[in-house]
Amino acid sequence: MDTLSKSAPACDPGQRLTADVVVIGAGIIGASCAFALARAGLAVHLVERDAPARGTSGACEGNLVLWDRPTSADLHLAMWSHQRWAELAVELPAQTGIDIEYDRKGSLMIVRDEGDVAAAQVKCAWLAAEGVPLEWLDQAGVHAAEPDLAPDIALAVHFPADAQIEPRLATAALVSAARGLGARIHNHEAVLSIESSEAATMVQTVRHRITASWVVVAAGVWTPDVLRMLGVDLQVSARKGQIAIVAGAPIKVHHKVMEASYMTTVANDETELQVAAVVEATRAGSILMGSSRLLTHPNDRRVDLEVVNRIVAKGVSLFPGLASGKVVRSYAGVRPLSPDHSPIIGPLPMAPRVVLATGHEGGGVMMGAATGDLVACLIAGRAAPVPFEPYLPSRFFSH
Amino acid sequence: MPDLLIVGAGPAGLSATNKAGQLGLDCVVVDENTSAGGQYYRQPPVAWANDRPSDRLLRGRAKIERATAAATFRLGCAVYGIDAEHRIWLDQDGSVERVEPACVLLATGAYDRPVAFPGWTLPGVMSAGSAQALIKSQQVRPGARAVVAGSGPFLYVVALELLHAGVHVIEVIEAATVRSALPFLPDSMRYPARLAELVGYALPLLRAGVRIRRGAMISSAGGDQRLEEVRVRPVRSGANDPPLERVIDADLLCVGYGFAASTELAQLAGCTLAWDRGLQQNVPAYDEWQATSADGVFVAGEASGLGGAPVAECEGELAAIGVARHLGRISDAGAQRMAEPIRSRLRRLRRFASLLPRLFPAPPELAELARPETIVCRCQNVTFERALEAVTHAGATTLNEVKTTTRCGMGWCQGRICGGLLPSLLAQRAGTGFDPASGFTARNPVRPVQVSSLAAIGRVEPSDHGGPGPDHP
Repeated sequence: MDTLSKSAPACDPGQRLTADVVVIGAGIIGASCAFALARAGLAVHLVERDAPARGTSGACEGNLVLWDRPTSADLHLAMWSHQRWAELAVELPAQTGIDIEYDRKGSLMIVRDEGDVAAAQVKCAWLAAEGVPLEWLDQAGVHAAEPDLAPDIALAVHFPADAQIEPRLATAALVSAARGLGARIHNHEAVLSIESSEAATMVQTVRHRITASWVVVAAGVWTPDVLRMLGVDLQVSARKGQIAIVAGAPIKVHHKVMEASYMTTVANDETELQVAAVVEATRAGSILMGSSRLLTHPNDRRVDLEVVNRIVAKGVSLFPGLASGKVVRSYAGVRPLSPDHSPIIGPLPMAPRVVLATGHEGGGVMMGAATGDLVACLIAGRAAPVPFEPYLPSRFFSH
Repeated sequence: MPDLLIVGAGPAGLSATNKAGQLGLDCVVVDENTSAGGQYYRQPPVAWANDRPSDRLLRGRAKIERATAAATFRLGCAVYGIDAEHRIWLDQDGSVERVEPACVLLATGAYDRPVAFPGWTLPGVMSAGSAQALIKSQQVRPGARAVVAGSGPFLYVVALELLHAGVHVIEVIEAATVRSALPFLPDSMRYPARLAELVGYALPLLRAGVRIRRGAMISSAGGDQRLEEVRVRPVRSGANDPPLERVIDADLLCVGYGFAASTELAQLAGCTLAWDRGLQQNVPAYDEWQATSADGVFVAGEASGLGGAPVAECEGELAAIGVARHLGRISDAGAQRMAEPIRSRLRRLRRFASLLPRLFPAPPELAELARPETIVCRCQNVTFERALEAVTHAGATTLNEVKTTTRCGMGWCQGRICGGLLPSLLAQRAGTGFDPASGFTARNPVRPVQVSSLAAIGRVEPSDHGGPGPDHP
């Protein structure tokens, strides 16, 4: 059990601290960065204005799904991350006592509309060439895999490697593991200002002045607010998604079951509301229904009941047996969307000691484990299993 | 759309309805219960003839009859959502709709504050309010041999009702003592009628041979599959001695250590909350017209602070006048004239009401009862130990943070039970750092709602349908 935070001496307000790296934001990305950096032997301070996983990471499904990745760069990072999560699912509970509820349940992409068939074929050919395991299921195969699916569903693709984790517990476990490796965790400590020179950085929080060699900004949809402290303007949009939780429906859902149109809603630039069905069961026994995408402002966590209606209608069309259940809760989160839909990982060209790790949209959990490792490789000057270039922030700052 | 939607048909809601009717407001009253009256004026089903109805029952019946003539009543109808524009989502037997009244009055009352002690989840252990509801609306006798434990006049009311229902009430375990009440007695003497009312509840109990044990409280409940024995202890014990327990054989334990108000609707409507000493929680703040900080949203009765039914009724009337004034149906001067006598009555009633939590405080020793393995979130089976660790090890300072790592509050009851018991429990047991005023963030839907009902609306595209749609302005 981790009691380091209790036994550590209390800091005076305004105390000066030094570190190798300050990580700003304790969502899944910041927690993963802090863990990977601490594991690389660096002195890390993780600064969070609220508490771990209280933002987007606390309001998502914990998808470890490969097939919705829109670009090769995303897919390569996701495949690396996929492997890392399988390892972390063993390592983190051993180190922290926290079970992250890793479940390699596989996913089903339901191809229902004629129009989706061609797109699904193109996508699957690409995924297969990239080495993603998949199999096409005909009507009998679909219903053998998910007996409670609507009888008219006749085509689906099964991705046996896809998995799920509990994102709140995973974040808590990464934070706890980082702390076990000596990282200092500063919860409820907002950042007031950041300074950056060629040699060092300084982060002024409400309680501390931390001098460090590097700053990692993992502030999700709030990244633009943090970068503004450095006079840097970078667009990270907030794309809201809602989830409805159903209890009491007499059905079983074994996989993550998603409409093929889900990948379109991930990849496009639509500003109006988009809804694509995602249905899955949780370990606690309830059923989660998603998904929606709507551009909004970063602090809009309001559940719109009219959107719940749309999500629920889509879900029932996949699993008619859901109709007799009850929606017991709903919640909303805001996905950090970069201008080109790919994550932004790497140093700012105008402040190279400030490293960004943001913009993962709905793939933050999926790509989170590898993002931490990639940031650690960048800072430690080591090679990584994927090239750095596709993720670098410099792509948004052309001269 | 109506001028006023009243949520809750208890004393506050009924008084507001009658006043709103007099003022010519177009008013709709919704209540989850299938009959009006709330907990205080709870009416038995019509089919059950009652040959000796109480005064209160008759008063309630008269109020309900008047109110029914003055407004549209929708009983068995749940408000499952509200937003900052006070659009309101209703669920009546699986038929859902959205209404947009000009004003809304939240008169949702309070419920028994749950207490976690070993055995509290056993069948046979229930809140005093649940026992009362079973007797009054279902005419079900909830047990044969009962112990009633808690603090305050509501205990005696429930004990008496159990007695009338033919339950053998063995003991009433009252936390307060005459000594603890002594400092407040001189003030209390200024309200002889209210004191007589309290004595009026206790006397028939004593006459029937019910023992009233003061300065005692529940310690644990035990039994195989269901309640068989109740352990009670003195509230205060020697510094290092374990408190001396006494065992009572019983199959029913009714627990009532004060109340909690549901504030989800107020939070979602954007009302500013403020700390309430009597309820020990944040409740919507309101002005002299019972108006909250959210435009057009009013609050009355226990939902905004403890006061009892007479206070709730005055507040309901004031709120109705406030709504008529807000909508410009009456002048400010006219409203002030109407409000003045109600306000002076209310001032006196509130002074007495403020004494009650001091005469009958919920003992802080209740927080000693939960053991590591005691369940604190019934829906998700979370133990006290896990919730405590979220604070002591992971550093959680608010209830929302505890939820993040433990799942407390993510179940069917949407946090109403653990949200009522955890803040004070964790604040006392975890030491400094945990905020006793913290609660779960309210989210729509606030009540479970049938999937098929929502799907029926959600399937219709907004373009070819005139009713509520996803982007309906």
